[in-house]
Amino acid sequence: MEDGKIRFLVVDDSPTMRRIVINALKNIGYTDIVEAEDGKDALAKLYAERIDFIITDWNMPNMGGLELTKAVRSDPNFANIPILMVTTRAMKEDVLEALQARVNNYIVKPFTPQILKEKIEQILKTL
Amino acid sequence: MSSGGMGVIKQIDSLLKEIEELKAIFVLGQRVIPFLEELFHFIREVGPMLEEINKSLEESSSKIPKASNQLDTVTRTTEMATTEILDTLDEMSLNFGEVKGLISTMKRCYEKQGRLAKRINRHIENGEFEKVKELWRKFYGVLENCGGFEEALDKLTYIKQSADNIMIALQFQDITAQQISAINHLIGSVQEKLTDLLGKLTNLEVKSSEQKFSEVKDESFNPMAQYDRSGLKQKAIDEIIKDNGLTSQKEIDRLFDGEEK
Repeated sequence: MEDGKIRFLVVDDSPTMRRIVINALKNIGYTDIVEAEDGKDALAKLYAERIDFIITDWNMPNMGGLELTKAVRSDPNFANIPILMVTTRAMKEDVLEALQARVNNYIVKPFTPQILKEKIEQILKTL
Repeated sequence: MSSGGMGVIKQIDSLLKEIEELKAIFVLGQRVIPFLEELFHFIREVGPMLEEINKSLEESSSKIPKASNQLDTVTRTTEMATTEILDTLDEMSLNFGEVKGLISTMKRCYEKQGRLAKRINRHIENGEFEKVKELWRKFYGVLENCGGFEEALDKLTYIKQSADNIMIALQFQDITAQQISAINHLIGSVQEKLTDLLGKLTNLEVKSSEQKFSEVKDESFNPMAQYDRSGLKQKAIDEIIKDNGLTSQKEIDRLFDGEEK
């Protein structure tokens, strides 16, 4: 985190969802945002620039959010970046699988900007 | 020739005829046997093939109602979200109308105040202080009735909330996209199965039933995606996270490190 400004990486294959998440982030007050359309693209962005916080969807082509989380956690350069999973998957096994992959928190779609704010703040408090 | 000799010849002719007929039967038998063998072979092959056709059709036809249900879900989701968006837009439109009304009233009020201020200014310049006093009372009265700010601000806050609600409702697009992807996958699998079946029928060769249709688990969509704005799912998820006592990454790491050991 440079200059106290958190740079978010929003990963979702749906441009509409990326726009909704970015819009919600901007409403909360976070304006430094980078986008990626799947896990592979997200990894490329991670190698290319500084990222402080990842918000990712689960189901995506090429590389999903769970795979991305595992890849991030296994790389010592990025292992500590907070990851918030935002997905339509709401089964208990899904949540546990995501936690096991070491996501920091979990939001189910459709979500409200308030929920997004709460979860981000919860994660930031623990850092 | 004696009648006895004629009888023997007739008998021999009849015997020869019967031998010819018997020979014809043997010739026919020789010709029929390979055909019968082929027929038996065909029946042996057709048995498992028919079984496979039946299985394929059963599998394929069981997917059609599933796809149909998914399409129903897409329709319901779209309907639900569209209704929510339309309701919210109606509310927004109503609130915009009210804010417009409040601003128009305020505008009229300020115009009236402006006119009074000009008159007060003129009277001050002319030293007509009694008239100033009287007009000031009027000015103050107008000022007191020029409210509406708070109400307009409340309504604007409500409009902002409505815009947020539309943003939430628009997430249905991602949900229906996943539901449609699931339908595409089902249709694709039925098509693959039927093409496979058609190939088998055309070539008339029975392949091993182990060569099953590949049920690919596609991770790019969630067939269970639902548009549920009750917040109950999020609560359940929060409970799962809470039950695991997870408040920090360290705790998450500790929990799963413990499991691994």
